[in-house]
Amino acid sequence: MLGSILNLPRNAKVLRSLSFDPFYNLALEDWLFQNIDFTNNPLVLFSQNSPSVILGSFQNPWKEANIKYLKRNGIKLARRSSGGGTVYHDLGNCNVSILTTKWEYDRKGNLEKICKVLRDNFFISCQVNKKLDIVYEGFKISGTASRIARGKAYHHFTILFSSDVYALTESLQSPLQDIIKTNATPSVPSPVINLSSVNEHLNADSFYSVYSDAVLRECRDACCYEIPADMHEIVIHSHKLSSWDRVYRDTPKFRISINPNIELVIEKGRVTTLEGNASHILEPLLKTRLCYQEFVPKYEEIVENFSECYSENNTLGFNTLIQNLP
Amino acid sequence: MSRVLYRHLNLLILSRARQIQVLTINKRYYQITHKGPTKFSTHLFEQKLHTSTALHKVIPYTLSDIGEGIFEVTIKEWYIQPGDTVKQFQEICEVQSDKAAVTITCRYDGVIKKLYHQQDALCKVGTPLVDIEVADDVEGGKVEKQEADSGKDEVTPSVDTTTDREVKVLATPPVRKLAKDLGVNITDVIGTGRDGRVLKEDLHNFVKPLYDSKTPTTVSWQPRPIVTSSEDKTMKLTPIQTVMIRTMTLSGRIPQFGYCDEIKAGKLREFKKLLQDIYSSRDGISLTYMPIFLKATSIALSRFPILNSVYDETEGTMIYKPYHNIGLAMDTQHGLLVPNVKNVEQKSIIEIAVELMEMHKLGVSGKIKPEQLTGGTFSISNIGAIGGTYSRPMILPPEVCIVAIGRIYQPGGIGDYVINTSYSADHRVIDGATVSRFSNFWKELIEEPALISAELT
Repeated sequence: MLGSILNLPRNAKVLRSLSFDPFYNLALEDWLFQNIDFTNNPLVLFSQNSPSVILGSFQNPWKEANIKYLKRNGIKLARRSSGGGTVYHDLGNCNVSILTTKWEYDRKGNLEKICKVLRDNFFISCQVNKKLDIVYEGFKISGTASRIARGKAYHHFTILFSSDVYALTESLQSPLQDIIKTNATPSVPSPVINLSSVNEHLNADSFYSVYSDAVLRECRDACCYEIPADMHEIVIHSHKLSSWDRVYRDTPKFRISINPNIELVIEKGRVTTLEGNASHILEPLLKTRLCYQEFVPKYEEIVENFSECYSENNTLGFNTLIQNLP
Repeated sequence: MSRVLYRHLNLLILSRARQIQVLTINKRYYQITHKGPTKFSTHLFEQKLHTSTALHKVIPYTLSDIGEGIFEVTIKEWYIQPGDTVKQFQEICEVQSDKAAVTITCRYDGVIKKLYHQQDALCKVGTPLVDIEVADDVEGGKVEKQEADSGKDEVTPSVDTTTDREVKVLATPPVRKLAKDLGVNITDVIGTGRDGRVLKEDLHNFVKPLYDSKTPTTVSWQPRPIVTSSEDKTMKLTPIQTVMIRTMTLSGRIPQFGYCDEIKAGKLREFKKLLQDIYSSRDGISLTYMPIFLKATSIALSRFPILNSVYDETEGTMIYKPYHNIGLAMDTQHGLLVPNVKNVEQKSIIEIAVELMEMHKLGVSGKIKPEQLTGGTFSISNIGAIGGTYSRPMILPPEVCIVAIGRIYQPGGIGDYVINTSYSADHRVIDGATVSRFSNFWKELIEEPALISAELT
């Protein structure tokens, strides 16, 4: 059904997703990327997500996100297929994804168009910096990521209007970040600002109408579509994206230093090796997934069996880790 | 397997008699090395073990350009390992650079022999990613540069003079069509598909350098040499400039508001064409859109006489003029002049056209009479004759209104023709509603020119 709307021989389509589920929107983007031919048919996908943290494709969720805070506040955690760093999304920001052939891939051009729209319609003067962030007076208002595969490419970016900056800061600060050693892509934190504090008329809806208007005026025979939030194929794919396998198992190999004497090596989300002079005690932890359900019972088993090594004050440093398990 | 071997042996016996160099079984190419009357080449048996390749060689597969000036990437994940058989377009690894995640696919069918980089290592663009063992006809089997003349159609096979065999360009019908659409000679394109097939990607890669440069390749453009004069040049003002300065300064003091509209010009075009066909052949009158615009304006002014008035600041009165002397902004060699056609309300479209023809001749030769330049009550600027859509014309005092008409065009290049009008009016004495109603009425006349005849006295 989706295919029959979009495979018309027209130039440029603006799509707006009616779903606020981050997994659904990521699945939608993936589906469009895999199934639609972008030759003479660039797509602009506009979406918003309920509070969630989105990791880059090869990042480490334990290191990038404050899993304890996320669980307590019902914030979802997802992994996208493009590169870049971890971002916090909520209804106060919007996500724009521009899907084209790889020959039309032009990240700087896309972002400069945004700056132009903001300047002409909302009188906000922003610049695009070398990292392809959009910056207003030194504060970041947009982050970029992209993906290229098989002659197609997409460039997606966020724009901050009235996001919960407190939640953003808390969510992206992991207590485990210092004890995790990895080659995964690190996130670079930047100070941010909400654009609606600069111009109160600017919000996701007003931006969408102005930006889609600008895109449509540029392209001949362009049109707008709203994508419903319950398309069957997309829902099925979104289940895959919300699974443990995608979010946690796809993390590249990394190490956790519980203390100078204990190091866990995690591959595919499971403990595969123990290093250090306490490794014989910690054997039950091998092959467990790094999640509360599997890890904690084994850990408590160890505590029981080796109670003489443990006391209230000496938990061998596992407390922080256990509090931050998904 | 044994059945194939038997058939194979039969053919070998035949080939020994006929010295066939290339043999095909089930579209697989085998090269037979003929060692002697009684010995079979052990090469035959070796070939049986490799199901899809004949002679093989190991070539490095380099990381192709990702664009955006990226020169280095990090290998994030390998999807294959040494010893794996890969097919063309199979994903072999995921790399990342500057927030772009890129999936690299393999160009060839073959067997991976070596990975040049570990996970998380850096790989420079243009350097090898993997070593891959491929069929010998890869690279060599690609379509050679044809020495056939360019007059040949790309669909028919061209003769390769080097090997003296007919070489067909392999490509599927959609790819051939795309080549035709792009204006590309398919025999010029190097095919990277199976058996040297030309693929859509190959056409894109071939065509891309031509389209990347913004200027067409056939036009050689030289930048204009920058001429800098050594000093300022002071010029006296021309008479027209002096008048313009005075008029526009006065105009600038008038609080003016703008009003714009878009008018469908389909029927106008037909109407004009009709008049033009008849009157130019029969009476030698060249007809433009202006006489029609002038007449429509006059009809509309009869309905809205306030727009044909003069505001007398000193007396504090509005003087409604009984005649419509409509000025026409004219771009002459000396500058902007606005001669007016007197009493448009009493003239027919053709009479106006004749008068405009004469006025144009006078304008070109610089002989416009002074009485033509005074006494105007309303002005029209046909800036669209040169270009433009909407504009902000300035009122010529002591008039209270002016309209600028843009060019006739099709938005987006297809569909209805439209024409844009931009009014400016003196907001001290004219309100928006009046101009809007005037504009709507004028619009009706232009969109349906037959109505003009209904309004004639």
